[in-house]
Amino acid sequence: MQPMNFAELHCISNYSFLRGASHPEELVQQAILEGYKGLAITDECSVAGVIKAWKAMQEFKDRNFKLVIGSEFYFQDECFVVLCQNRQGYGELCRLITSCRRRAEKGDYHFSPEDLHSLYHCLLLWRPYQQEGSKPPHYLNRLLQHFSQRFWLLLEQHLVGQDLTRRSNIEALARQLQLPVVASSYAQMHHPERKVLHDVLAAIRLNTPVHQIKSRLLPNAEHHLRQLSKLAAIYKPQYLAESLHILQQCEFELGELCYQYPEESVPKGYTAKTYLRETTYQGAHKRYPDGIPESVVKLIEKELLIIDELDYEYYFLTIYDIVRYARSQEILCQGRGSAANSVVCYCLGITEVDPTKASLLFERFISKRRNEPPDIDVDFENARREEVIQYIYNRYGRDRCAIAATVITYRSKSAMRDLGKALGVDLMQMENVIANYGWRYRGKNWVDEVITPHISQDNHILTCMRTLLPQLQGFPRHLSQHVGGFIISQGPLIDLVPIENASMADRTVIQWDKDDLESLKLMKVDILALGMLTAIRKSLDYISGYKGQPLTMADIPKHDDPLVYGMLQKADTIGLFQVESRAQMNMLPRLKPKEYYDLVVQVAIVRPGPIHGDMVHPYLKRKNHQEEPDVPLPELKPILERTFGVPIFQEQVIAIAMVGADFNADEAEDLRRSMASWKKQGHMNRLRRKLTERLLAKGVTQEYADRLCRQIEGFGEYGFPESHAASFALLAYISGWLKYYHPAAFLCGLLNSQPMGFYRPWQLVQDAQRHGVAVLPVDINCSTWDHYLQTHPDASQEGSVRMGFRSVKGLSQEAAETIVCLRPTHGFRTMNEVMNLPAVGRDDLEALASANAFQGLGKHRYQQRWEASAFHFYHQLFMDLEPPSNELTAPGRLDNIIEDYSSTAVILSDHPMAYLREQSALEDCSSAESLYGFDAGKEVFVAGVVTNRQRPGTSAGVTFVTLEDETGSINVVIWLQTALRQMETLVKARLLKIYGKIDKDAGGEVVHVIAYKLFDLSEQLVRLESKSRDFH
Amino acid sequence: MRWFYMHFPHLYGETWNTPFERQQPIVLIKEHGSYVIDANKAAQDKGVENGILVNTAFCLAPEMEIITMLPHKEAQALRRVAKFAYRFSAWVGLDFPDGLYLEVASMRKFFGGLPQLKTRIETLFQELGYRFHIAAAPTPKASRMLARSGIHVCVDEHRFQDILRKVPVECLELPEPTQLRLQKLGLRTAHDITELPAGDLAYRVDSELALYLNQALGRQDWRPDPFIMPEDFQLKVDMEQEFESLNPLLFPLAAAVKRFCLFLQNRCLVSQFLTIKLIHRKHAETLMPIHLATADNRIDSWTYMLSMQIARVTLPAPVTGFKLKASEFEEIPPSSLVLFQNAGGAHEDKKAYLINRLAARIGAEQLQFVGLSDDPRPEKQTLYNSQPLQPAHPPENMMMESPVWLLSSPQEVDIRQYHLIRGPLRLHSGWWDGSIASRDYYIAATSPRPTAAEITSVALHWLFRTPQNQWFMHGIFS
Repeated sequence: MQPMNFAELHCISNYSFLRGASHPEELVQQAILEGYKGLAITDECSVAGVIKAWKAMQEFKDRNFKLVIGSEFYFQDECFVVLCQNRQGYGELCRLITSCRRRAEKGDYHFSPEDLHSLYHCLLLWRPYQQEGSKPPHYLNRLLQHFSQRFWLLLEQHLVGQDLTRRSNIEALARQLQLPVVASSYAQMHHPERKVLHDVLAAIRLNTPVHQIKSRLLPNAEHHLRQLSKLAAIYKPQYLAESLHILQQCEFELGELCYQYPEESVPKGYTAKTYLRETTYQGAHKRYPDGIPESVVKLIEKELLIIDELDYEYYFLTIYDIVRYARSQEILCQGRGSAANSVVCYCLGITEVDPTKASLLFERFISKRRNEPPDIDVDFENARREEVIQYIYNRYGRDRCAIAATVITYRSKSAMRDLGKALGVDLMQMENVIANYGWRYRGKNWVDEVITPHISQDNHILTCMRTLLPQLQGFPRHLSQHVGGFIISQGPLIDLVPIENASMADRTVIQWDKDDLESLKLMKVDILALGMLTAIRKSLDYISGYKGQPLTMADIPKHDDPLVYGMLQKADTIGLFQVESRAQMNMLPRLKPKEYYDLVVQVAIVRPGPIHGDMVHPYLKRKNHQEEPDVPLPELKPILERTFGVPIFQEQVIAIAMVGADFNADEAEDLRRSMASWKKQGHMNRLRRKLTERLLAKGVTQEYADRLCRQIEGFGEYGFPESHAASFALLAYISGWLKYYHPAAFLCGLLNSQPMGFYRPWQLVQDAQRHGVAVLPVDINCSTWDHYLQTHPDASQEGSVRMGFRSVKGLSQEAAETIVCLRPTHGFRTMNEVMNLPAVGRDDLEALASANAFQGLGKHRYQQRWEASAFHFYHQLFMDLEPPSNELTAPGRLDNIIEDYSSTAVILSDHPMAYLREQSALEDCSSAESLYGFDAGKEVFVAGVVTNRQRPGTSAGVTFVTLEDETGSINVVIWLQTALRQMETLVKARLLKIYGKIDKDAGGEVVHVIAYKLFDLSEQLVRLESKSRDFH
Repeated sequence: MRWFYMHFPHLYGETWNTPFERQQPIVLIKEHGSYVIDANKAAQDKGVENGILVNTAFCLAPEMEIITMLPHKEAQALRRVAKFAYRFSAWVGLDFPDGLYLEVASMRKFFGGLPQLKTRIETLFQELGYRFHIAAAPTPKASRMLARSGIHVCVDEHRFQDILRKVPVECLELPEPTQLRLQKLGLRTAHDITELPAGDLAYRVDSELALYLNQALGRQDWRPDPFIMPEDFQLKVDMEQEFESLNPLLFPLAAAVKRFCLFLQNRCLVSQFLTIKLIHRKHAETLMPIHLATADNRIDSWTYMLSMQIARVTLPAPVTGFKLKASEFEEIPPSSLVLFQNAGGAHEDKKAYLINRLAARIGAEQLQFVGLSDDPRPEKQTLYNSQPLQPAHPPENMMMESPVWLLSSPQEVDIRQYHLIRGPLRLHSGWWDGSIASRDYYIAATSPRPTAAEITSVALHWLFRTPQNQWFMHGIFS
């Protein structure tokens, strides 16, 4: 047979979510392998997968293969395939997809054939609905006219019973309408092996197990990229040849998309280059009022040169524009990322990280060698980020900016759940298996470890799961909104990429994700929200308030304050940014940060990457001079010197790959992007092997290379680059400074920014109280909606924190504001005065009574609530009725504790443990603060309220529990054997007493109690409660 | 003390998962629920409690079995115990999902006093294997309050008030918000609440709670809806003479069956099963069950079935009488109640008639209903079942050219004996049950090159080829 050629022009990838069973990359590779001349990726009303296909094609540049961009649309069982001929055609397609998507709910689209009339530079392939004797649809004539010479009939034959009728119908239609016919496989997978996955995807889409939807499944696997010889046996040669004819007419290549930066950021009379230079130097003069140091000038010039060479001026200026707006509105913000830590950004006010103060720091800025786009993320106060977003929309217009998509892909757990549903296994059992498996530290054989007979007794099902799970992993599930990645363009964005609705009202997302944008070198600005910035801004406002002079983040002394670092070294960090978690608190006394760079390491070291790569202990030993710093290769010295030869940051790992393993720029970029999927099979294995082999060849030990690979694996879970750690460390330092010097203002700022951080308000309040901050209860005559600082008699001192009405559960803000607004100068004297206020309803009154806000007005909270509950009934509806007087029993001490907690979530003046201690229930127990005085190894009893409890898993080996008593918190470690023996107490107790051994580390600064035995005290509290009531 | 209340805390498990108390821990949950509703003792011993998260329960008893409670089975379980309770009280009320009211004042004398009655109830339900709390009080709601708080007592009005002092608010099974409101007023026992003026309680706390208390305290009258026992059909006929053969018996039997059919028709019911027992003077009764293939209430259906059934019975002794009994009924499907039945309905009737006659001839177990499955594998497309099958959608891509005569198992053939006429149609499916079918189907003539003379004797076969290049015949075209 003569060799023939063919191009597949109707093919969907897995970006037609839950329909296509192959990645776009796989389709391209397979098409090339089969010797196709071209391939069109025509996902359903989408171009979300095309960039991945295009990237894959780049690797085969020298081959004679063409990628066509298109999309398919369904209308009443008829399929319309649109292919772009050129750049204009692509723009038209994007507009068509956008309009179809914008008409429908998120994830859906509405299409009608009339929409196709907007296409002038696209080709149309039509697969009519097959039915005996059906007439051509009414819209056909107009379409034929519009697409004259651009219209084909699609013939798709899959070796099924209907093939014959289909073919004769199409051929009859072709004769009747004088239209050419083109052959296609309607490929939905790259290889027939994916048939099983294709069936499973259908089951997931229809939310029904596979064996119940047999009629909806394809009868065979012919919807794949079939061998040319097979196609030749099925189709007439002219139908196959027609595909090449079409291919010739499609000239569009994604590389043609050129992006223009928005020009608004440059005022008239300037070029981007001159404007950036001028603003940078203006900023520099402000930053260095005593004259710009020579070294800084040099750096600025060097950076401006690189920016110029890479044409990044607009990028910096756009971010400068956004940040300047935020500053004008007094919205706190802070940039981070590799480019953010440049001197230029410091001068433009995008970041506060002073490059001269941290000179040992970074392999600075964007290097030309590395082919990566500039990376600046800007964090804004979470409460006011929306204002910034609205500013961007207003300034650039909605057709020129949109948020990038995040492709939600199947991860191991979600893949397991959906597979389980599709295969019809017991979901409860499945959830249990998922919950009990130690995901974080899973090994290579995790699929075999997690797919066990616990999930199903049916071996066949288990085998299917084992094969399908790795296949399904990484499959896209749907598009979601990126946390804050904006793309802004000079021209209309919808000519560049389709826009669709997001689930949030008034939000739209583009169909490409961050990686796609990077591939096309489009500019993305990350506008992120950070709760801590809100808290810091509020704290600064309160301090400015009582000091009488404004204090900004820039005014906080950045020199390394030993007092603040002293506090950090003691792990006294509740409420601080980034370093407040239990794991961070354990690390602080070991790492003993003394200066800014230590804090940068501290922020990054308690992460899966360094932990997984076993880099933590070597670093600590070398830092504490217990071990000599050692660099595996001399050329790695500049990279690793500042971390004593131990790679901690993502940048270092990449630099090792480049310098140590001679990765070129592209490979390094590949490595950076692939970190998230390091564990996946395929080409990542290649990178891994290359890295290991080359390092070994240079004389690095196998053990070191292995650790490096494990670390990269860990980065995949949560990569942390030095450039981000640097910005975070600064915020951590600032929050530490605030906590040390202005604890009351800091507490107030934190409480008014809830919910955020690691701790609940009660824990923050207790911590502040232990630091000498006076916290006053909610009071009808003193509180405002927010918590605030009451003025101190000595005006230069911090006052006490007055709890605000916002802490009262069930109280509306409107009512609280009415109370504040209409409060008499001498205050309310009776409850009736409050109850007569407008806009204060019964629920509000009850909530206030229970929160004890009326305590200054006589009677107890139960009685006040009773009166509040029927005030409107007796005083407004039925004025003549006399309310019956009912004396309710006054609350006891424990009742007050319970009520305080249930009404305001904060207990100010008491603690359940203090109560129990006084009731002699804890006679043998040591308090949290006394533990520091004990020697390691001493056996003690401790007790407390359980504030943090992990779900005990059988594979983790250890369960961490945090208890809290009136003096502080107690960290308890429970080994697996103890946990298994006392599982009931462990999972159920709300009040726990532990008998165990004290374990100390880092010179006595880290104290744990290793549990031997657990006692559930929850009952104790109930018993005491009833006993106390017996006395009434 | 006019009312008993029985609370069955493990009713569902004890009804549907017997023995509920076994070594393996069992946990019951609602459909799509994530909380434990009930657990057996093995689970409780491991620390599983009602109301905890299923995930927590998994930590405590990883080997536990989880049973999802189905609402209709819950109701059925309660009706089942209600039937037994009916022996002791003419007024039984259902309290879904797991409680019963029993009016007992009127039965006191008959059973010789309340303590005796209580003992008899307890004995019966213990024998049946149920665990329960039982309490007696002057009003239904009062007895409910006591029993559900786990207090086994018989009280009069005065003592009821006393006992309320001991009942904590948490035991009243109040909705969460109501309980919270009570807690926030410092009200802890049922007695604390009854002390409050009812109107105030209704307005300030919860009107449902006020109503409940009023009804419990007898301030407001309330009685449960009486439970009506489902009927069954029983008939005993004594003959004046002994019959040695069955034929003469047919007439009185037919008359009795007719009464059965009228019983059904009067109640708009249909049935499938009727048991006839023939009574002999000295011999054990002869069992003659009648089983229809589809439920029916027409006289001719049943009498035809009766005559068929009689032919199969051999009498061990002369018959002196007979008994009829039936207790499984179904309601007539709504479509049959249409006033002017359409032709389709009549057709359905005829079908049922035919099926019943067929079953009578060849035995119900010989009669199978044919159904169509949506499986793409031809050998799995036909289903046989003793009950009619719901019509299934045939597979969209079903092989259109398959022969009517399908071989029960494909036979390997020598392809050289054939001439392929059409094909292939490709099938690659069925991986989900482990028997994947990967075949190319062809229509082939039985002669490699038929001559004009042979052409009439040539048969068309349905062949398939496996990936291993083996050829099989799967069917024959007519």
